[in-house]
Amino acid sequence: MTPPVHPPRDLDEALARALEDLEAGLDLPAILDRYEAYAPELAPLLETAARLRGEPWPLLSMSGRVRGRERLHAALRERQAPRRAFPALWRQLGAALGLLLLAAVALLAWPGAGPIQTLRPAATSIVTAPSLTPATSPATLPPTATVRPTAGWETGQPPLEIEMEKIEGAHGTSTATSVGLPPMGGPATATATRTRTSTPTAIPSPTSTITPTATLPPTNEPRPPEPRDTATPTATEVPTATPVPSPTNTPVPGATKTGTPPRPPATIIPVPTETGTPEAPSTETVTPQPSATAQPGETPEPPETPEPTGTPDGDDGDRALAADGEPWDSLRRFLRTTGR
Amino acid sequence: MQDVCSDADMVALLDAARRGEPAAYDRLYNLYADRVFRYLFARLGQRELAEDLTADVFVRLLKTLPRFKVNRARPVASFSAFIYRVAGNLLTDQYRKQKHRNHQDIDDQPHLADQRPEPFAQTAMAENRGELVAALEKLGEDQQAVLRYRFGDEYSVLEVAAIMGKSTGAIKALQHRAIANLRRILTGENPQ
Repeated sequence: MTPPVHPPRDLDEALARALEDLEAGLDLPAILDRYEAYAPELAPLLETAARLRGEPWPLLSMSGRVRGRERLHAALRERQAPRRAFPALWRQLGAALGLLLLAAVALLAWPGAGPIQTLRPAATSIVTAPSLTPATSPATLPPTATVRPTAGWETGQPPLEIEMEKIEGAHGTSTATSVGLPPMGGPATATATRTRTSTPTAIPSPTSTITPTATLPPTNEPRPPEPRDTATPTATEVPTATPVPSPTNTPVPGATKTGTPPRPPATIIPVPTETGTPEAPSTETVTPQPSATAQPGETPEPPETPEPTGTPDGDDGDRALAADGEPWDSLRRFLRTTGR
Repeated sequence: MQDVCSDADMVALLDAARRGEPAAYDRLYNLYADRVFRYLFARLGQRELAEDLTADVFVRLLKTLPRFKVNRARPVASFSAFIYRVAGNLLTDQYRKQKHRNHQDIDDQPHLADQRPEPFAQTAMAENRGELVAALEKLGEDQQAVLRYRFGDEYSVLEVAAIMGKSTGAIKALQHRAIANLRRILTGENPQ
């Protein structure tokens, strides 16, 4: 056996090299020959090392080996399974978000379906009535005056129609108005026919605005008429003012015909007429609204920025009605024009 | 004889294992299962517990391997050191669990103390491994470790240096002292 090229520096180095030779399969005498200078010290150490090498070191039992391998593979499968499912989950989430975004865009792009309008009360509208009998010039009473909803009407609903049924009486004091309300928001659609019994002093002026504020309860039970119409003629101005009922004109029971109220209110309670039972009870209140104007002979236009109406101020509207000069004369001229 | 893996093989094996190939983990298991078991068994003295913890080491390796940065100059030595660190951490956890158990150490009860040798020595004798392993038990921790790594696990000096975090010169000197002390114990002399 040839000695190593570089002799070991010390015993540690000699032992390390001798152990490597032992691992390589050399026998003890051959190794000791290679490291002659350290042979006396190396011999017992190499014997002990050879004993250590031949010692049966503990090994995993067969069951433990199989168990450990199974656990490893199970953990590997478990670790790889979520990794495959993860992109699929993201794909589903992405698709759901995309659909949500499309729905939101479609909702915003829908005409008239903006979030502001949808938040407004659906059963509140400002109705600008046409001039029925202008105080200054007689006008032809249209058989049907169409008033347009100005606020709160839901998209696609037909306009509110006010049908002037009849104006009769010696002094032309009664105005029967049939208002057809299209279905509004709630589950109970209100197509109510209202009869308005007005007094000569309640002739609408050209600037009068009728604002029906309809609150529709969801029930369909017809509401009995309430004797709340307190519009009464002024005794001094119209001593013989007696409303003549027309076929569609149902006088409000309990309407006071005498006395002089300080301000005749124009609160109109819808009354079921003989033309049919209202589909839904309504507590609509028609209140003159002085803010909006309607020119005589023109079709009233809805305001550009519909405002939600709160509690209508009926007092101001009454004052607007009463402010007209000589309403009886206007009515007479109107009746003459219409040939009645 | 242990399964041998060259440095080039180890790099490819670790890359395959990071890709989650089961065959790569099988190879790593064949390479290191017995070594890890011996490391744990030497410290725990309980075969079943050591086997369970050996399986835990490889399960934990699945999580920790992606973070392992292999030393391209010495892939085998660096991975060997890494897997022993994993085993050492599990061993620490096991010691912590045992410490937190609400029980009294039997060593604190002299009248109940077992008069038989230490667990590892008991197991060594039970497995008919003789006085050599019993003598090994009397060495210091580092000396025991270096002999186990060098002769039980057949690691090279370089690998043992990587595992134990020492220089090769220190490992050479350590193994020299360990063998010399072991011989003294076997011959009845007092170890230095």
